[in-house]
Amino acid sequence: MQATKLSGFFVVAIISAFLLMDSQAWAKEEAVRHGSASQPNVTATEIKVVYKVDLEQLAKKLPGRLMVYRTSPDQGGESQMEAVKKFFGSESNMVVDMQKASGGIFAADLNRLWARVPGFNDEVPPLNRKQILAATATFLYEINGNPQEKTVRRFSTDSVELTDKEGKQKVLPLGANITYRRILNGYKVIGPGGKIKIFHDSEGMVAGYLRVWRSLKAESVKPLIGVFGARDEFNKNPLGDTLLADISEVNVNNITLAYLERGINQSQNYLQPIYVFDCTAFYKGTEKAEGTRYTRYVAALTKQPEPLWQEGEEYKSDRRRKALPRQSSKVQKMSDESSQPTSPFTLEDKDPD
Amino acid sequence: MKKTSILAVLFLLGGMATSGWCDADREVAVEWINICNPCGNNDLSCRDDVAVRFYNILRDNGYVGLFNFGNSLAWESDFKEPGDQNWIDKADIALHADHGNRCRFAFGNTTHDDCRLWADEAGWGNKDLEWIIFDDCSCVQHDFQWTCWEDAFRGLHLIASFDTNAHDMCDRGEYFANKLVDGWTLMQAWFYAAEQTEGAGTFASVMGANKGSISPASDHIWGFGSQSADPYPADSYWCSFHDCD
Repeated sequence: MQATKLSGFFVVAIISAFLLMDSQAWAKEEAVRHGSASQPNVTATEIKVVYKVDLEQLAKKLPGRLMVYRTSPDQGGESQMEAVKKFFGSESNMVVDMQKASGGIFAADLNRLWARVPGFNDEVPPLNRKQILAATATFLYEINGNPQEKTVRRFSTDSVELTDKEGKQKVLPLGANITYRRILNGYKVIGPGGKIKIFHDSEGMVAGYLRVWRSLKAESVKPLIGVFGARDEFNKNPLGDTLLADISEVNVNNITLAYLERGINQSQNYLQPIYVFDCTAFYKGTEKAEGTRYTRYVAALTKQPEPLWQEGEEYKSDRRRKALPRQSSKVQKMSDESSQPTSPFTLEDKDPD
Repeated sequence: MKKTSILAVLFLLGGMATSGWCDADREVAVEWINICNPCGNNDLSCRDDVAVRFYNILRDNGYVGLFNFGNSLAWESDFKEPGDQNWIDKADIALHADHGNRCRFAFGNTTHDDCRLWADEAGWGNKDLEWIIFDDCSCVQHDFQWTCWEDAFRGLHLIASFDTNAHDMCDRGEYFANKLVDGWTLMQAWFYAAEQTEGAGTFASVMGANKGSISPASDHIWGFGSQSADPYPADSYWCSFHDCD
């Protein structure tokens, strides 16, 4: 009798384990890619485009040809690693990442960078711009990180908005950023790369450092599509790859030339010029005609040596189920509350999958 | 007596397995839309990359994937009371990737129930959800426009999103997930991921609720650091912003 019961429980356990495995396998195998045929094929609402800039004038002003650069991973970041570690010190909760794709470096003291949100009643003194600029200068000097090329420097702030029980509102500083951007042939290098950025906490202390500064070698001067060519490209898809919903009208405030540098973990072989459309998007179906500023990049070369961005892959979605297979439990989670955050210190590339 | 004890242990193990106690306590769910035109927005190409890489990294690190619904299989009703309790609110961390705008985000399916989830339709955390990411434009905006999401916090800890426009960058989800499992706080990981994928004009935002001294501002995800208790009922709210240029 006991033996029968015992084997019965084993059967329950085996079936349970099978169900667990099966539900995961099912999710993976029964995949449906990119929706079903039942969806109506309605095209996205047409967006009205209004040019607030004189295109004729702009066409006369902007060049018809521009230098294209070969890029290679930055060698400067690696030589700064030891100095960065020394600056932050062994007592900080330091992380240092170096990415082979760009040679870029990211370092931070996680006890300081975006680490704390002040409470509504906390007294937080305003950011001291002079102190922050001085701290930046000291930091760059100590790590030998001052940019050697022509740059523009920008000061920006991070903030936190708070409400209390009575609905009172307050804005407090969270930190500040100093960003250096490279200037090539009079045009700024923009995008997630092409910057040296020093992050400060709300006390003005250096809290983090980012350098995505690929080495450049002049390749050759190439022809551009021109302002009107860029306009035609823009008009085909005014929002491009921005994630704005419900837009009925776009105003183009200005068009400039720039170079686009990819982010820290993306490979890039060429630094190529782009047209930067500075736009304001207006919502449809709302009473307020409020606008949202956005930028749209249009490739400037008549023949691109590579796409502006690395392209994505094909991923599958799960098949829909009527209900999820299991309940979750809080029991084990509670035991996690005592666990401490890890303090990673990695110098290697991270392979996501 | 001994046999009874063994049976009790086996019974417990069987029960744990069927209820998912052994491994199902940390759960992730994602919904993404590349085919956006049925709901009036332009199609995108990286929404699947953002969501599925995020999903897979968490699954590789001990999380159970509750669901990964894409395009027409991503439904607004999954995010809306009361149906959300069987879907999004059943996960611990969830990510939505499509278009967005002030106080709303979009879908590509017009029939379940409609094309937009508005802030006043959301109520999360009354089942399980602690953290939700809207990889969509302008959902959580500055100048206290983010307060439209306050009623969504029914146990929810944090919303991570954007104040301004953002771009369809394929690798944001993986940057974010990698830092979460490295033990960074959710706010640090989100600002880092935005910093590495955006440029001039983009501000990332993270909104949270507080209950007295309970603040989730330094929350790590389950298994990778500490978390606050559920800040519910919340008595104050905050929203932090990072300039990505």
